[in-house]
Amino acid sequence: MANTESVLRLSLLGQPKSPTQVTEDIAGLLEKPIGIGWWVAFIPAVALLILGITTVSYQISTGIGTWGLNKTIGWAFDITNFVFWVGIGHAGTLISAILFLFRQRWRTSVARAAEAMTIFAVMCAGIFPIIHMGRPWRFFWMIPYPNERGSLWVNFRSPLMWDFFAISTYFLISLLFWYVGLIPDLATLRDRAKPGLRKKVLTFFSLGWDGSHRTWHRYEMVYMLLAGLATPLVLSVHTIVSLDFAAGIVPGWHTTLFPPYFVAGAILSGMAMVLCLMLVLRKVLHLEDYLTLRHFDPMTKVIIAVSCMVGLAYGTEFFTALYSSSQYEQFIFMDRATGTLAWGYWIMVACNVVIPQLFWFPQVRSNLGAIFAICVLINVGMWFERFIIIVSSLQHDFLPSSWSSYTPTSVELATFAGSFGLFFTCFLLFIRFLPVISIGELKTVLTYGRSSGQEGSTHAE
Amino acid sequence: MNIKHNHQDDASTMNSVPSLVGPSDAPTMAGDGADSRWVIARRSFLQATGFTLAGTSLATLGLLSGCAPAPVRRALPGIAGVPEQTPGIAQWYATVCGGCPAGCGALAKVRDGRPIKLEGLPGHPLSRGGLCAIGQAHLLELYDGHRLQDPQLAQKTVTWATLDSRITSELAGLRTGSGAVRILASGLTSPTLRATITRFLAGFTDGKLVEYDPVSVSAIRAAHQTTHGAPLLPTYRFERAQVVASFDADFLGTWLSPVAFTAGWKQRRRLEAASPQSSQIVQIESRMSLTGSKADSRIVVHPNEIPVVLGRLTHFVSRLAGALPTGLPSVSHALDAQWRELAGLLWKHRGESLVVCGNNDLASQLAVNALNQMLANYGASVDIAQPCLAYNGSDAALLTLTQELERGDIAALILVDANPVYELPAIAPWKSLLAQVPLTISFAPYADETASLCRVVAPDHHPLEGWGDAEVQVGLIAIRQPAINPLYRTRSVLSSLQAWMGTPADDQATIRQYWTAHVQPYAAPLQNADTFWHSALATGFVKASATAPTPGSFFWPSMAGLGSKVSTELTLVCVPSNAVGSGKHALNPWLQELPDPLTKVTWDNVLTLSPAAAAAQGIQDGDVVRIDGAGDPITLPALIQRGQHDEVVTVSLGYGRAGTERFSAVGPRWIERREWQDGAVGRNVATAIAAIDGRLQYSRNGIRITRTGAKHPLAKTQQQDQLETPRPWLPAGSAMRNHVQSTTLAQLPAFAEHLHGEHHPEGDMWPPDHANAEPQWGMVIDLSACTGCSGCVMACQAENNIPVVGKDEVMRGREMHWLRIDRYYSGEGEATQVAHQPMLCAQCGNAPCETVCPVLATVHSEDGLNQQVYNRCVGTRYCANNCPYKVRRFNWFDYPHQDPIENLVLNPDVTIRTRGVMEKCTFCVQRIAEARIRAKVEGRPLADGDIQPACQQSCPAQAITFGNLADPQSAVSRAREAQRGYQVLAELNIKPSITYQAIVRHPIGEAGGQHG
Amino acid sequence: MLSKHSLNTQPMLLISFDTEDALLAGVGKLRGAGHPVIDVFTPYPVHGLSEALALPPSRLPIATFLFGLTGAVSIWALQHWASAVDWPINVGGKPWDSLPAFFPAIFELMVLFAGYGSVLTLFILCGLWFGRQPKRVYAGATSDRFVAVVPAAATLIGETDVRSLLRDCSPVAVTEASDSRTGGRR
Repeated sequence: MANTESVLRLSLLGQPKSPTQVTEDIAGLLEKPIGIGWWVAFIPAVALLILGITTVSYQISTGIGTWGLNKTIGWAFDITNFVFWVGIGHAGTLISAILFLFRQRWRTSVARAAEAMTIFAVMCAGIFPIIHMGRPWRFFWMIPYPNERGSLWVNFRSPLMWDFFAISTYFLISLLFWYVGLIPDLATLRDRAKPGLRKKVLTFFSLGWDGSHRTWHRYEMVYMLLAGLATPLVLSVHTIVSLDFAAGIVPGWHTTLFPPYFVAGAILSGMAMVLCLMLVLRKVLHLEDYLTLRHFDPMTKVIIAVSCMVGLAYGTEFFTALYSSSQYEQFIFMDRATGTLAWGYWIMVACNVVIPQLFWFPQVRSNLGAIFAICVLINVGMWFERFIIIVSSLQHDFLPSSWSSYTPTSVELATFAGSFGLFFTCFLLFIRFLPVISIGELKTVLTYGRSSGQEGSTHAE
Repeated sequence: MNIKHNHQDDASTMNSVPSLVGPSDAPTMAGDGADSRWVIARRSFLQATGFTLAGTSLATLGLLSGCAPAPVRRALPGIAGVPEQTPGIAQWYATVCGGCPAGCGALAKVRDGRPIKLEGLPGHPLSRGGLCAIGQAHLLELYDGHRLQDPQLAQKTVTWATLDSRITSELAGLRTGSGAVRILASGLTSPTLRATITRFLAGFTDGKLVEYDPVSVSAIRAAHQTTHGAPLLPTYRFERAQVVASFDADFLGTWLSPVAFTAGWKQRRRLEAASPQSSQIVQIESRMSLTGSKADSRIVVHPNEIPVVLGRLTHFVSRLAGALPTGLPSVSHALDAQWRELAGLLWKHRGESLVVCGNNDLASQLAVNALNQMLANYGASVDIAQPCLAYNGSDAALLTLTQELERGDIAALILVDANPVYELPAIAPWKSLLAQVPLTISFAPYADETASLCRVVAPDHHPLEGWGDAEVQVGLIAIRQPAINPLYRTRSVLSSLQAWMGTPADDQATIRQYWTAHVQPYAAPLQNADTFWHSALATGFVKASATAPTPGSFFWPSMAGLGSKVSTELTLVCVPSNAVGSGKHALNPWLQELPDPLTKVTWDNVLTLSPAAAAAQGIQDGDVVRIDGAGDPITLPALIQRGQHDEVVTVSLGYGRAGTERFSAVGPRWIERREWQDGAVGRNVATAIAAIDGRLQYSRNGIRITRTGAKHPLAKTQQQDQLETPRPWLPAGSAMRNHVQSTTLAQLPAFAEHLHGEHHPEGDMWPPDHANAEPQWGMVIDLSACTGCSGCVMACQAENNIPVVGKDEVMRGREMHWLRIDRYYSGEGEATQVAHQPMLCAQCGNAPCETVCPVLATVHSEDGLNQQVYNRCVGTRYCANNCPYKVRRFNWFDYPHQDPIENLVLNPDVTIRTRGVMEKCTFCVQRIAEARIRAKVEGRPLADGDIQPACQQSCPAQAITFGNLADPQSAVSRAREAQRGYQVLAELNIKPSITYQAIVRHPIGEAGGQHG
Repeated sequence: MLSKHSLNTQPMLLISFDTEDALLAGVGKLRGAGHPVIDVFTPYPVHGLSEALALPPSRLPIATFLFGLTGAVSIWALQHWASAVDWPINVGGKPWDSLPAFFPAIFELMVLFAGYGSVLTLFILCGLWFGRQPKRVYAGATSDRFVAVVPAAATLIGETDVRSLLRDCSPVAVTEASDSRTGGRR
């Protein structure tokens, strides 16, 4: 984070808070009855989820034929959505782990919600590889377990198998990271809770936490180790996702550029999604004091950086293709830019590379409305990036005789909508029942009760 | 391959496998008529099917016999076992293809009492082991539940007994009276049947046999009547022709006997010889035909120009020959360089050249005869010593019959394999005419357009169900034995006629009688009758020494009829469909979903017109157009076709059949399924066929086409028609793809050098973990020989139980054919060239599909096959994405079999794939396994040629070679090393096991190239 | 060092502060005066406290490393054995032992084992487990109070002396707690 002078002078919080206030503000959110606004969001989310469940049941009982795929294009919406959601899932752990290691104190307010987002996004992502199978009821054959067939193991050389390991590890580690961070807060809530079911549940999950410094001492070490493990994990997961394509021989897929390209893309979409959610939370839960420009500004700067990386990747793959003297590669890229899917290609370039450049202007960075709009557009653009990479490459590959085209069916659209339903349902339940900001962690960056008013930094220094 | 045949069995000659009929059946035989016969049929059929199929059979027979419980109670599996029948072991019966009058030799593969595959009969003098798509698909019609299952009297189901008594009494009246009896037959090739018909008609004071062909060639016979004094249809021997001038004769596609012609044509193209040789085919035509797509040179003329250009050719040839036929039009030399050149070429190769003409115009055919006479082709490439005996249709006789009908002179009309109401609707008001004939009898197996207008329908067997014989050429007579007992209560024409003559006899007896009297004396006079009979059954045909009476001297006809000036106006040309012929097989879903070799359209017939004509009218693919001026207006979708004359529109015959409406139900049902079919599949354009000057004419001048504004999307299996990618501004040279290599005979050596100059990646970073065990299966496909006829596609479909998915699925790009034929165009207009490229799984050595499958559902076998393990597949489709040839097919749905009886056609050696799994070609691994086991049982190593995949077996051009690549002596290894060989996408280092051999053309006017 | 303070029977002094600064000063004074401070209960990790309490650095990274190693080695072994030994299958002409293709799984499993292993170790060392009740709730220790625990027996002096010792650190409360629930397994 170069050149954050101005921002550093800003306080992390809107106005100074004491630990008591912090506890009151954030734990308090969960103790008073939820507002109408929550229901207004929750009911449509559940409706979408039900739509998704219905559609997927129909698809599984009828056949993949209910999707718009054909003999040439074996993947389209399914894997596009998969990569889209995995990408979104990335900023969560990224913000938590990498920024933690980099001692970015502004992470304290956003980490918790971002990690939750990761977990739910990965859940959405995980669904698609399963339902995209012709026989999803056999998905467990991906697991290398001893069986009566020989034992017939699995093909560890298949990128899909790597995916299986990467995605499940990523989900489990993110979940662990999130939960470990939650434990002290659960204890806080437990100690405030009136006797009853809620207290029982909180007691169960807070593991008898009592704030002993001897525990904190080791806890911080473990938390840092987890951050250290999660950071390369974040990079590895999208690298492996990108290998689904890079390891194939399809023109437009078969390129070594993909791992960094996909990681940058993932961070871009993830950051954008985090920003969207944070801006909404800030409004809905009245967290203006806790989520300030001090938090949004660095994130928009991260977006500028990764957006430029993504733009560089677009340019590089285009150049590589033209320079490759492989007529198939050359054609695919010309076709992307000018062919039947050119509209999608240019949406992708505009949303991911051009529009984010607006963040160079401080006025834009300080205009929350603008930030929200741009971030939504970035997510649109990132979805199209995956769609273009997958479909435009498959539809016009080696033998012209097999060239084809793709249009999604209503079933695919409904399934995609359903995944948003799942995501927002989970997220809304999360903000209803768990502290959206890490209470304990936030207290480490308060000015209150510290000599010479210097802010403490995130723990584990 | 051991060819089984039936021993005569006096007790029950009805049965395909007489020994199937246990003695217990003998008494029931004595019982009255049809019922008891049905009992035998049913029980022996069950015995034949044995345990494995008992379930299916019971269900099926329940359906068939109408009264389910009875047969089930009486059904017993053949516990005792049946001699010469081992459950699970297929038997092969030599027979004659019943698909069309060409009468190719066929082998019927019978498994557990069911014919499950038809293949070419190796060593057959005409078809030489090939069989076309229609011939193979013909099998499916056997199991068609929509066939008539009982005789019909006035649209009511009756027993044969009732029917017989009724008809005999009515015929008795006619015999005494003077009522005229006519038998209208089409595609009559059986000498026994012909003899029987003659005897039958002899019983009447005025009985005549009238024959016609839906696509008439009677002008050829008429021309020979003039020039040779006999209505001959010569046997054309393309293997003896170095130069062929073909005028609108699609001899590789649909004309007369395409399989035999293809074999002959291929025989003349010896491109692997030390000094490569090739015949030269000059195709003069108005549309792009299959033959045109393979022609060495192609000249586009308007149909009306054919007589004129024939006149010019005749002129030049005659000047070289020094004989000048009378009445030749004057010719302006300046304009006609190409005809002079062609004439010179033909003359240079006189005695081994050939001129054929496909139209039905007498003047043209006379000119053709004159040309072949001057070029000394008679007795060489034009064989009139052993002329063709099929296609006996006489337009004149047919038209006379219609007049008689109009006059109401006919008392009884009997239709044998004739469906004039559909095939020639415009030449007579059939509905009213048939209505006024007192007795109308049809032998049609379906209640088709004509049969439904007849009072009596006596459904005939499917050719595989009954005895029969065929004589399609003088001196070549073939025999057909039943491969299965009749599924329904049908009866052969032969026995029906016998019964109505009051001399009921079973077919085997009738036929054997005829053969003893008329065949053996010419074939093996000295042989013991039984030996002769059984050897005939075993081989399926015999050669007789008989020859046609040698005609007298050649009579030079006048060429006046040819005319000199041409009126070219917009003309409609009706041609037989490459898929369903002239409509006889339109009820066959396999053929309906077979992509047309050129248009690649399925489930429709289209109006094709040249790009220029389309542009002029603003017509695009799928626009519905109306054709006026050719009989009733016809509306059907248009398709732009390269290489077609700008003033010609072409439509395939054979569509719009009554009964095809039911195909709208084919394919999976789901929320976004779209219904495309309104009524029948395609439109019938036979209404445009008119009798002009006493001849059936298939092209109509002065028509108008107009856009109706409606759209009718077409189910094409190929969207991109050319190898040149549509981005000319790509970096130099990168817009043209090299999947198809082609050259000319003269440039072949240089080309081959260049081809092998192309370096392919060598060397591996990987340890040699996979020692190439013996054998390594591989294939070579000669693109020069492949005519795109699609016989292989059908062979694959029948062999591998490939489902029919219906128009909507095909439109979504989900057709299931494992083997497809890619068709690419290059050039425009007259210069249009076509390449056909069969594309199937290349069983890559470094298969990209295998690497990406997470669950090891597709892996490599030790003998070099890329295996697909259906029951392990979870359906990620990653393999299909990663397949550079896109030859993998996915089961998007459970594809329902529309007709439960149809399931009897399934090959038990090949798994039925369930929904959600990937499938693909495996080089017919079931055949490989079978051959390996047989060799093991016989204690010998596999020999080269022991294994023939279905596609190779039936290829009329023998374009496919299969065998062991690890054996340098095997045919396939030698072909792979041959100079024309290359591998598609070899640069990917995926090591495909399929090698393609480049196309070699031998255009006229090309310097060099050895001429035979 | 835990065993040294098996304090279950000893009376305790609970000294609670309301700011981080006061706590650090207080703990310094107590230890300076020779009063062992057994433990401090805080709402968040207070920096400098470990040093003040002279806690040795944690050895958890060793556990993490060993767990990670286990994960990596075991999945490598499985992949090698399954693909090259137990049932070698020719997949796309690739070698039996396609080591490069095995790395993704090796890395993922290493992370998975290391992560869960470390957290498990943490739980065991700190006696944290699902459903466990805190040994004692120190008022506000999970919200805004910093509670230092000193063994009353070891002080030999009373509450009043501690108050005077910590006067300028202004502890908000000093209470005696002699029940056995004070210490707890740590």
